[in-house]
Amino acid sequence: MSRYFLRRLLLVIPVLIGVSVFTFILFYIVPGDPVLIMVGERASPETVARLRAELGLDQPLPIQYLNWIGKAVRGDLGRSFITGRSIAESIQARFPVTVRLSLYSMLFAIVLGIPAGIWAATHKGTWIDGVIRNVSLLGVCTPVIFQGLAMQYIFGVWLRWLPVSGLNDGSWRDFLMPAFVLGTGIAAYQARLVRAVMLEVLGEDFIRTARAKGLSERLVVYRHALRNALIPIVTTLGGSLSSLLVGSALTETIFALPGIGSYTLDAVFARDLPVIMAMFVFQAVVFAAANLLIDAAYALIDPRVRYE
Amino acid sequence: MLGLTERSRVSVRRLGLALSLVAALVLAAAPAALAQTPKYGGVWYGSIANDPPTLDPAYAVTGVDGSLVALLYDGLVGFDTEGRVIPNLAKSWEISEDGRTYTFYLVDNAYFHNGDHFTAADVKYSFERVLHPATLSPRTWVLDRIAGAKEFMAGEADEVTGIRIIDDYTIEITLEQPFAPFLTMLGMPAAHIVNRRVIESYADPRTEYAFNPVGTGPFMLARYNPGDRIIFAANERYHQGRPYLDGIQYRIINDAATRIAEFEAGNLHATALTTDALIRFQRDPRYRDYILTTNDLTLYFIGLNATRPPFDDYRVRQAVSWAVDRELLAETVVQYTRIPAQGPIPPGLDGYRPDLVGYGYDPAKARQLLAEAGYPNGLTFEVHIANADVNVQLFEPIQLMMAEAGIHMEIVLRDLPSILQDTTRNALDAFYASWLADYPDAENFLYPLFHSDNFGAGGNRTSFSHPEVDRLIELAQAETDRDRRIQLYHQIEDLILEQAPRVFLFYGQSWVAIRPEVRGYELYRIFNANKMTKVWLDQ
Repeated sequence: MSRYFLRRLLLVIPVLIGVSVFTFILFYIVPGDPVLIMVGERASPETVARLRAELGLDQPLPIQYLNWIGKAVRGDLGRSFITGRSIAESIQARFPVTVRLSLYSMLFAIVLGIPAGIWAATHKGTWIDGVIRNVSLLGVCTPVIFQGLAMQYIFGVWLRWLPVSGLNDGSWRDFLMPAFVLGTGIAAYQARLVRAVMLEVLGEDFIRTARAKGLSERLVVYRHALRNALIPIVTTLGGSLSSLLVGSALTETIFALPGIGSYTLDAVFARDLPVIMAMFVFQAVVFAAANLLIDAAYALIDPRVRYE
Repeated sequence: MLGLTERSRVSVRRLGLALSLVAALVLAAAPAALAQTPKYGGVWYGSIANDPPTLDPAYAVTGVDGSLVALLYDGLVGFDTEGRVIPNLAKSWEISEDGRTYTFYLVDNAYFHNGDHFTAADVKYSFERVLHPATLSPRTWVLDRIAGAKEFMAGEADEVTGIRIIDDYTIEITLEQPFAPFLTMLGMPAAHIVNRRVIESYADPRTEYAFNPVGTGPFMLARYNPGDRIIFAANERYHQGRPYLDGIQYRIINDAATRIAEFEAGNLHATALTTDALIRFQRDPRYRDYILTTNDLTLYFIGLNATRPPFDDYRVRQAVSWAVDRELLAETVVQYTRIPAQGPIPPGLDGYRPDLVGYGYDPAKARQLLAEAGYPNGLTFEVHIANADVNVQLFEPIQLMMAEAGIHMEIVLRDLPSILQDTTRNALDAFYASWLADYPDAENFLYPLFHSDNFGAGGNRTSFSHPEVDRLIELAQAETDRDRRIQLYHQIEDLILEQAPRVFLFYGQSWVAIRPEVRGYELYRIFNANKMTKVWLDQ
């Protein structure tokens, strides 16, 4: 099995190379010249040309790419064109914010979504099921902007229970609202999924056997049914976690949190090539790592996987 | 500078810095304020829309970094709320008869944040640094009219001969030719004074000095958390006297709605207002007496490509100018935040004429002009606009207005940097953009936009070329007599209106709400004029 994971790890490398090449090409296809953006209006052509040379943008494209990848494999992600700050330092400062936001959001997603889904499944056809299905539909459809702003006004402006935005004292209070907004979006989707999967599992033969054996309904549902429903649930949760970890740019913007989502978005607008390259490859790494973790989780949940 | 009619996220940054003159409104509503003596103390909580790309005056090109440079550094001169030049590091000055030589008498009580005493040598160093080829400053145009600058920039001289140190507190600057806006341009961020010892202590100042500013300004940088906030502390030794505030904290808040929510939660002392927030606040008894406004020096226009049909014919340009009902738009879609523009010179600058009559809405006249120019069946063209809600809301009605005149205007949504790049290649028929004053002189709305020296990134993005316009602009730049210069500005404006290189739509109007305990806060017309030295908190 460890050979399997080793193979998976090695396969990540061509993926990262592919992502970096694709990003690089995309950057040059999309209009927008970082040098012109940096110098603003009325800069002399000499200044523009010299700045371009200083940033290495006058070299042929393959050379530029090779320079970048040569440094990147040694861990040198370079500096922002615009601010000159080390990208690695910026990631170090900002990624923890995104990680915290992601984990708190997952907490909401799991705590709200999974029990709701199980409840809806075990009370299928009743009013509980109806309420859960409709509320979750609402959750899926409500845009983050609206939910975020509404919460900011209710809890931040009128009740003054929570900060409106920003990283203030760095405590959980700064993350509560944005995590809730993100988490409920995921929870809504999870609830519906969990319900569907549970219903399917609960219809299986082995469940009838368990009930026939005289096991309590609680044990049937939580010990036997849920365990088998976990694979698809963990898959989607893992997918959600991956998406969160690459930075929820919109939520970070609305709640003014200095995470990597807003960092990447700002770089795209400013055509800050080194940051864009670094962040897109970083996202690919995070995705790959998250997927590997999920696969490891399968091995824990499903003994059949272990013996492959 | 080219203003950004980009998504609200970017245009907001200009709003976020607008400072106004109409403190009269506030004073009228709060008469108690007049009788009070200012109190020292307190921290100002404000916001900026983006991280500053730099805090080094030689590279500051955006509104955000310009406003922060104003806190950290000083120039020889500054600006008052209206945009008139006032003394700063230069306490007085003389200009020679021929308008070429400026003698500045400097203050002797200014100190850099590291304790170094400010002298004339610092002025020479700072200006030469901007002009030095190795610095790669994009703002050489602010100082390149100084005699000897061109040779220095080309590496042919090792000093700028036009900058002469007379003694520690007297410096003489001679220009190649008389250039009337020079004094005003000295208030720009690029002409702010830096410290040689500090900058030369870095191996690569362009990247290493950028966020370690040392100036003579009223505030010093205390802490900067990128993406989060930037914090300033008062400079106790400021040469004009310690600011009343102990410090300033600017949160970095990109989203306008979030910023207004923070203001309402009591976490910000001031906020720029969007149109809907303005309407809400005007009805709210808690806020309505605390709203300031000013016209900001922004011009909104449709640029028409003069190098190819259909807009190479001035009659077609005139026709399009007659096909927009600016008044109606200013009363509805862009109510409050825009005022109709008659010509390129905005209110508040010498040369502005309140009674100027430009183009109104006359579809019949437009049709007639089109017929004369060879388009009897109407005209079709594309206008490229930045993809923002406010722009779409503005251009859909304009499309209908144009249709009345037989003009089929297609709207293409893009992002602003790529639109601007296309204009340098003359690849577009028409585009929508804005121009924000770099310095408060009408010349900044005429020379960059309409002189044939400035095609492309110089500002003249429609490649408009008219020898008489060029000649009059050059005359105005050299004219040292203020009244005669205003006359020339009027002549240029009239000629430009006749030639119609752009459809002038609006000037900008900014609105800012402040908290009741704020005193001494005024809106300044020019983006980098507010040094926050007059503001105090009554708490």
